[in-house]
Amino acid sequence: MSESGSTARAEAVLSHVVTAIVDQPEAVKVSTDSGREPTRIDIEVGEGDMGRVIGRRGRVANAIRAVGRAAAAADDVDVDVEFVE
Amino acid sequence: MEWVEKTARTVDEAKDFLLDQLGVDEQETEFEILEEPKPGLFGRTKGQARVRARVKPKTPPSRDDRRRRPSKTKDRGGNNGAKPESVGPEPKKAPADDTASPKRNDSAKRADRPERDDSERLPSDVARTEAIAFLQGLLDAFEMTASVAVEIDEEGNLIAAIDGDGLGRLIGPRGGVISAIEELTRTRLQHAASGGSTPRFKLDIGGYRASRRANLELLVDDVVLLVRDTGQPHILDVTTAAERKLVHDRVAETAADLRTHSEGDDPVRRVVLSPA
Repeated sequence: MSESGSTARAEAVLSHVVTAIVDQPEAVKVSTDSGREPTRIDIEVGEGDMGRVIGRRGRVANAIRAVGRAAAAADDVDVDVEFVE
Repeated sequence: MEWVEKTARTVDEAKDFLLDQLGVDEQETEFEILEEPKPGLFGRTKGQARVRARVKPKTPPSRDDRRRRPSKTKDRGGNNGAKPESVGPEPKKAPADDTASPKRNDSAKRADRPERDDSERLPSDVARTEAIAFLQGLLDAFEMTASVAVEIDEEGNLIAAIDGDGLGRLIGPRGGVISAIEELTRTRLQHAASGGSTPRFKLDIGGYRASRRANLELLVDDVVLLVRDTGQPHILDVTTAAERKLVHDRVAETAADLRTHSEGDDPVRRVVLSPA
C-alpha cells in the first residue's frame, strides 16, 4: 500500500495509463519532484510519442492529469503533472 | 447520415459545436473543413471557419484486409486491379456504402491517399479484452478492488461497468475522473486499432452515469413544466456534451412544444429550453 504523502500510487497509475497509449512504452519514465509545491510529477515519453499523450486540443493530456491527480489525492498529495520528451 | 455545417471563428470552435450537436465522440465523427480562416495581422484571422460533420456511417466489412480478418483473404485479390464492379463475394451493402463507393472505384485517388482505412474496425471481442485489461490494470494501480464488466451490445459497441465500494475517487467532482477514464480507455482502443476505427465505448462506475441520467431526466421534466407555465426560456446547468445531448433528446421526445439549443463556450456551455 502506498502511504499518505507518497506519490507511489499516482506514479503507478500514470505509468499504466501512459504506457498503454504510446508507441514506445519502454521509453516512458515517471518521476516525482517533491521539492516543489505542489509536488510535480514528470512524465517522459519517447521521441514522437508526445502527440499521443497530448491528443487533439490536449484532451488526452487533460485526462491523464485528471486520473493522476485523483490517484495522488488518495494519498493526500496535490500534484502537477507535466510531460517531457 | 446527414451532414451538419457550422461557421465559426476557428476550425476548432466549429468542430466543438458540431460534436456537441451530433452528441457523439470525436472518433465517431467525420469532419470536412470547407473553409479555413486566413492568418491576418497581429495574430488575428480573416474570414471564418466553415466545417461540416456527420456521424461516420456504419461501414461494411472492409475489402482491404491488411490486419485481423484472416477469414476474408478471398477479397484481397480484388483490391489491386481496378475492377471494383466484378468483386463477387461483396457482403450485403449498407446504404451508407453508396456514398463511399465512387471514391473507392477511383483507384488513382486511392493510391495517392496514404491508406488510413477507417472501415478497418477493431473487432469488438478484441476491443473488449483490451478494455478489460486496461481498466483492471488501472484499478490495480489505484490499489482498489472492484469488478470490471464489459458487455458488447447489438451494434458491437462496448458498455463497461466498474462496481464495488468506495469508488467515488474514480468518479471525481462533476464526473471529471470517470470522463477521463473513459477518454483514456478510448485512446487505448484507438491505439490498439493502429489507425483503424474502434467500437464505441461507454463507461459507468458505481451506477453514477445511470443515476445522473435519471436525475437529469427528472430535472428536465420539471423545467419543461416551468417553461410551459411561464412561457420564459430557462437555462439548464449542464456542462458535458453527452449530458446536453441527453437534454436535447429528452425534450424532443417528451415536449414537442418546446425547443432547445446550446449557448456559450466550454466549459460554461449550457442548454436553454424555450417555448417554440
